[in-house]
Amino acid sequence: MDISVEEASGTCSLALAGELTIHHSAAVKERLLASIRACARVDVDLSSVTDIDTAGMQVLLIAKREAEASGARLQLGGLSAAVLDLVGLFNLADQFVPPVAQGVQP
Amino acid sequence: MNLELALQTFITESRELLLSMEDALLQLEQDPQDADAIGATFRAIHTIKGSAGLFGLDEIVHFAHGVETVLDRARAGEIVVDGALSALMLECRDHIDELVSEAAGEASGDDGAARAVRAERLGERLQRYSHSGEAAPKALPAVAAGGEPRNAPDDGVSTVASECWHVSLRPGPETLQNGMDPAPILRYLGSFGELVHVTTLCDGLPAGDDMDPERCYLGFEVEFRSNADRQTIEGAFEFVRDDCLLHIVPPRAPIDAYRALLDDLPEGQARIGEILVAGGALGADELELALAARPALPDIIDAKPQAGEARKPSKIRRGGERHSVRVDADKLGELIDQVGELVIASASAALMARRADDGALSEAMSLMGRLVEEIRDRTLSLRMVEIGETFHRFHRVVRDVSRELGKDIELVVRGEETELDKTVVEKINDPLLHLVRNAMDHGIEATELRLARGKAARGRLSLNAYHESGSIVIEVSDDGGGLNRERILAKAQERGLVAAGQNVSEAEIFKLIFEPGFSTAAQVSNLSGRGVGMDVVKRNIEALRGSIELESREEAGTTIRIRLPLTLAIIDGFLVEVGTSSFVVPLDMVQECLELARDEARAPRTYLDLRGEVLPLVRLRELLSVSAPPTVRENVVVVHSGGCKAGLVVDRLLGEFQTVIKPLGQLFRHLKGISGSTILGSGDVALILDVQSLVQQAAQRETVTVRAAERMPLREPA
Repeated sequence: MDISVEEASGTCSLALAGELTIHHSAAVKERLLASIRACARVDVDLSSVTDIDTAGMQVLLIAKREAEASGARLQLGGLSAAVLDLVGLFNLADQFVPPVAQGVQP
Repeated sequence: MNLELALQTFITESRELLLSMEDALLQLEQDPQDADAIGATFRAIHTIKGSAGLFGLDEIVHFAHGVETVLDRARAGEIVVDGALSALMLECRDHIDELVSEAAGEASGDDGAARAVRAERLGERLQRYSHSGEAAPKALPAVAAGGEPRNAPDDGVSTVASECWHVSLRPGPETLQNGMDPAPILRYLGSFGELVHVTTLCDGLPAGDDMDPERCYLGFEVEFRSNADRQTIEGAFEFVRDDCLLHIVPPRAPIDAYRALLDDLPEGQARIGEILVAGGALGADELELALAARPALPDIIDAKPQAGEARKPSKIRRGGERHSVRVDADKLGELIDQVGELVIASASAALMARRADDGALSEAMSLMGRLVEEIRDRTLSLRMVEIGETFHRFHRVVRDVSRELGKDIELVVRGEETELDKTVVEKINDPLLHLVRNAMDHGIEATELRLARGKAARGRLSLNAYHESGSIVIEVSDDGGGLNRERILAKAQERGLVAAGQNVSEAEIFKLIFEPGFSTAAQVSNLSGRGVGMDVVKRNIEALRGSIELESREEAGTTIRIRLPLTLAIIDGFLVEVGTSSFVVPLDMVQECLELARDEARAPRTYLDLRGEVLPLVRLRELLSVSAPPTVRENVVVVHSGGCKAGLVVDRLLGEFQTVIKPLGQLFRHLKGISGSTILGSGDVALILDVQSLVQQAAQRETVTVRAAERMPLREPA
C-alpha cells in the first residue's frame, strides 16, 4: 500500500493506492490520524484502492470519528469499486456522504 | 506427525469434554435456566464435533451435529431445557461416549447394529426439538402449587411477522488476526439468499489512540431471506463460531427469541430495539411486546437446596484453569523407579560412609540422604491425584440409581482435595461403587418408610475423605435404616458361622457382613446382593494394604470407613533374616516381636501360647525352603491381618526401614506368600512377604488341627 501525502496551506491531500487490508491497517491508521491532527482539512483519494477488508474499513471509520472529534474536515473521496462494494455490503453509505452534502436541510 | 498420537489426544480430550458435559447437564437438571451450563454443554459438543471431523470420524460428527443443533436453540432461548430434554441430552452424551470408545478401538458393550438403531432413535427424538420453531416454547419446569402466575400480556407464544432469518454477529476481537473476516462471510450468505438489510454497528470502536488496527470492533445485525435451513446458515459461520457472539433467529420466530437477543446483546435493549425495527425484524408493536414485562419466573419451591447444602454437583476445576503439564504415565513410572534406585544407592553409600568412619563424609552423606528422601517424596507426590474426580463421577451414578429405585437421594461430597496415589485411585473405584449402590439399595429406606420414621423424604448419601496418620480415610455414609443386628446374627447362625447362644459383640456382628456370600437382603435386587459382596470389597481393599470397618445405628444410618496407605510404591517395613535371606514384613501388620526360647524350639511347635491366646506359628525356614542351618536363638514376629494373628518364626530381627517396592516380574506373579521385592543398601534382594496369605494359611491349618485335637484331650505344655 502506498500512501502519498501533500500538504499545502492547511490542507493535507492523501492518496491511498493498493490493498487497504489488515496487513497495512496500522500504517494507514498512523498516517490518517497524524494528518487529521496536523491539518484542518484532509482529503483522501481512495480511487486506487484495489482491495479493502474489515480492518481497512475500520481504519476509515476511525479516521472519520477522529476528524469529528477534533473538528477537522475529512473527505473520503474517489471511492474505488472495491471500496464501494464493501461500503454497500456493510450498508455504511451514510458514513461516506461528502461533508458538503451533510449540511443540507431536507 | 504421528496420527496415532494425535488420535490418542483426541480420545483423551473428548472424554474430558464428555465429563464436563455430564456435569453441566446434571446442573441443568437442577436449574434449567443456567446459561453457563447450556453454554458449556454446547461448547463441549461443538469441540468434539470439530475434532472428530479432523479424523474423519463421520459417525460422531453426524450425531454430534444433531445434538449441537438442539443445544444451539436452547442457547438462543428458542427452547427450554426441561427434564425430558436434559434426560435426552444425557442419553446422547452416553451414546457419543460409546462412539469415542469405539474409535479408541475398545470393545464396546453393543455391536454396530444396536448402535445404529440407538443413534437413529435418539436422532428422531432430537429432530422433534430442532423443528419445534413454530410451536410454543414448553412450559417452565417444576412449578410448585404456590408458584407465581404469569402476569405478562402474552406468554411468548405469539410469533413475529418477519419472514427473514435474523442473524446477529459480534466477531471476537481476534477474529481478524486469526485470518478470518466477517465481510466474505456475509458475501457467502448472500450467495444463497438475500441480504435484505445489514446494520453494521460501530459502537465498539474506541477512541483513535486506543484503537488497535488489527482487532475487530464491528458488529452486524442482518435480515436474511433464504430457503436454506439453519444448518446451512450456521455453516457459514463455522470458522468464527468459537470466538464470536452469534444468534440465528428463524423466520416467524416466537417473541421470546427476540427477547433473548435484547437481553444478550451488549449494546442494550434500546439500541438493539431500534436496529431491529429499522431493519424490519420487528414491527414497532412487536418490539413493545418484547420489551414489556416478561412472564415472572415461578418460584421453584421444593427444588431449593435444604439446610444450605448445595444441590449442584460441585464444580471441579478442569483442565485449562490450572497450570499443569500433561505427563505420560509411563514416564512418571520410570522416573519413580529411578528415584527408587537413587534411594537405594544413597543408602548403600551411607552405609559405606559409616564404615569408613569419616566424620565429614558421614555428614555429607547425611545431608544427601535427606535431599534424596525429599526428592523421593516429591516424585511420589507427582502421582497423587485428588479424590474429588472419583467422587465427582458418583453424582451421575446416584442420579441414575435413585431413579431406578424410585427413591429421592442426594449425594454430598466432602474432602475432594484429599490426595492419594493414582494407582490407588483407579483401584478404589469399583469397591466404592459397590458400597454406594449398597447404601442406596439396602441402606436408605423407601420414601414412605422414611416419612413414617420422621425422617426427611430425601435420603442423604455422603462421601468423605481425609488424611489420618499417614493414611487416607474414605467414608461412605448414609442416613438410612442402619444394620439390623438380629437379622445378621440370625443369618450367621444359619450359616454356622456363629454357634447358637454364643455371645457376640456388636463389632463382631458387623464384621460378619464381610463373610463370603453374606446378604441379608430380603430381595436380591438387580443392583447388589448379586454375589459381588462385601467380602470381595474387603478383599480388594486389603489387596491395597488397606482396611475396612463399619459403624451403624439402627434407624439412623451406616458409615463405612476405608483406610488406605497413601501410596503403594513405598513400604514401611520390618526387616528380618532367615538363614542368609532377608525378608520384609509390612510394618503396620507387625504387632510385636518375641524371642523363641531354645527349649521351646527343640520340640517343634506349631503354636505358641501368647498370654493365653493361641498363636499359630509359621516357620519361614520350612515354608520358604531356606537351606542354611537355624541360629541358636530364633525370634517370632507376631503379625495380624484380617482379624487373625500368626507368628512368623525367623532367625534375626533387623529393624524398621522404609523402602521402595519393586514389583515381581510376570514369572513370579502367582507365587504365594511373596508380594514384591526390594533392594537393600548392601545390594542384596529382600522379598516382601504377603502377610495376608501367610496368616490365612496358618489360621486354616490351625482350625484343622484344633478340630482334630478336639477328639483328644489337650495336654498342657510343661
